[in-house]
Amino acid sequence: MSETGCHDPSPRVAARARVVSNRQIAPSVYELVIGREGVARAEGSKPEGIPAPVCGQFFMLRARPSGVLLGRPISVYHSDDATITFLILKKGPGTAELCDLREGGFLDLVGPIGNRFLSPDELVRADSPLVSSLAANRPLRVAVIGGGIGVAPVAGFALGLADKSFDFYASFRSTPYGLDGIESRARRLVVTTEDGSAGVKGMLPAVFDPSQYDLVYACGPTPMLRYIKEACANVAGANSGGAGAASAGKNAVNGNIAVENSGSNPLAFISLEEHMACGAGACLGCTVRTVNGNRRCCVDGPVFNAAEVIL
Amino acid sequence: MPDLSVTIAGVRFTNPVIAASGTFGYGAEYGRVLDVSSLGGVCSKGLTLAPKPGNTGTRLVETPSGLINSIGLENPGIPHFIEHELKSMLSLGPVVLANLSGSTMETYVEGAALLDVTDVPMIELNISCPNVKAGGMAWGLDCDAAGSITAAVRKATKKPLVVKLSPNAPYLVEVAKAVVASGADALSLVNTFQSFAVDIERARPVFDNVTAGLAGPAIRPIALRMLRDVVLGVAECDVARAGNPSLGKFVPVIGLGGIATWRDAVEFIMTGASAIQVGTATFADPHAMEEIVSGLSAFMARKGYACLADMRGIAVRV
Repeated sequence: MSETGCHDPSPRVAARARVVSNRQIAPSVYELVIGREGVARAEGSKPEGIPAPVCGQFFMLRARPSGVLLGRPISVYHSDDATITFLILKKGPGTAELCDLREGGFLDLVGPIGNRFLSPDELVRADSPLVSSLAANRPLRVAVIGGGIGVAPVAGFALGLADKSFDFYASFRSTPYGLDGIESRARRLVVTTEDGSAGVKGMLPAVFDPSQYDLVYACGPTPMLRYIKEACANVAGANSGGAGAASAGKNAVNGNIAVENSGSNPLAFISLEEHMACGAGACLGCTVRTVNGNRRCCVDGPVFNAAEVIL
Repeated sequence: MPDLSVTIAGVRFTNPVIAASGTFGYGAEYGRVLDVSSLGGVCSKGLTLAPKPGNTGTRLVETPSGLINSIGLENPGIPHFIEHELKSMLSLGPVVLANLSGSTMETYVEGAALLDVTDVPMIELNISCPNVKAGGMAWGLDCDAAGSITAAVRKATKKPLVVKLSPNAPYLVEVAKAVVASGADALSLVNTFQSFAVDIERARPVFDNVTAGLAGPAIRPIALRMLRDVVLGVAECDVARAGNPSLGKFVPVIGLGGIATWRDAVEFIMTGASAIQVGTATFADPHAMEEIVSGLSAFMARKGYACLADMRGIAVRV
């Protein structure tokens, strides 16, 4: 998967951190900020600092004390020299404990883990065969898409892109969140909600036209990612003869998008979520099936080329 | 400083803490977060002769104090392991145990023969994987099957041979005796407990392979009881007596099942374990094994145990 992102060379720690703040920002959604200085795990031991993550990486987080066995994989939303911020959706007992953490509380973590989103500039600079078939004479047209809690990793990534160089789509069931700073940076911010409480009533397909883009970055629920994968592979007219779905699907299955793609299908990079135990690439619990065989979501991903993933 | 070293079937471990098969990859995966060289041993992921893609669908479900897994022996195959993973594994420092799994007797024997000509110091024969359709645990459920597969593998390799037993065997002590009689140098127990989970939204089993293996602290007291049964049972079995009529042939047993702290490790050693393996606890806290090693040392110093043998089995001799 080296075409998708860089294997992160950054150090990884299993350490303890202090909660700087934790506040509810939407129903069942919390913004958790932790200190990067770390906290000693035992009396007399030295605290271990938390290495700086890059966009797209995640941590395994577990509250202290905890009634659950394992950390939960949580994407980085923002980070700076002193802190790391996560958005957490209260889903089960593990995330509920994280949402209940208070300022001054503690958590155990492993990370940062995983690869990252490669920016359009990086893809071009690296002369990746994935982008060589895309239009060379104009700026790449970029869409960044977040669905629900999946907005966290892509929002952080988008804020690092050049001003007005991307459109941002955010789809929620109801109240939007995690979009601070996006509106002023994006060329266009399009919000959908299923209940119509904000933005366009409906889901992503109501507003997203993949034929308008060269590059798509997305994170969200699997049905949404499946839609993005298929929509991007089946852009009308992207394949000679207009064979549409069958032809584009075949190209994707062959993994030959760079060679056989006529140039109009956008490349889609998607960040996946799986149940995880170790976050180290050891347990093989988070396996993702791809056209190149099994990959580990935690350390080979979580960012994958959508054309290679079997969803 | 107490001596934490232990020798099992002629192989010396600097301490009794071993990373359990399937929870530590090929040793290098965790290298960035813990000091792997501080461990006594590392078991490889379960290896089969041919590569296996593992099971489809959900592979993990957390339960209260436990973790159900349905990985299904995903591995690159023994020839690939020998060519690519083994060398770096051996360079880590701890004793490497190659976990030999299989389906038919032929695949086990061929795998053993391939491992026999490598530098791997020890083989852990896995007759207890509950997550594969063919073979696996089926070899570990009754005495005849367990004895015959052990004898066949014993013939194929001169390497020290540990046989990993299944807690799902109805007569575990009898299986242990059969395995020892067929040439096992040591035993390890227990592998995971067969379990089941329901996806209530879809009204069907969670796992594509239907049943799956439960591990973690939830199984620890049961694993400990089984260790006690086997330690007592094997010590009095005929083969053990034949080894040395006065003392009995000593068959080392490696205990595992939900060990997460040094206190747990002490319980297993006092119940007769020569060494212990740690699996699920590493997922929860990658430093768990390092802290077990240091905690064991501190406990032995406090209690005046100079070496592991001073406390091994003392809780079952009463």
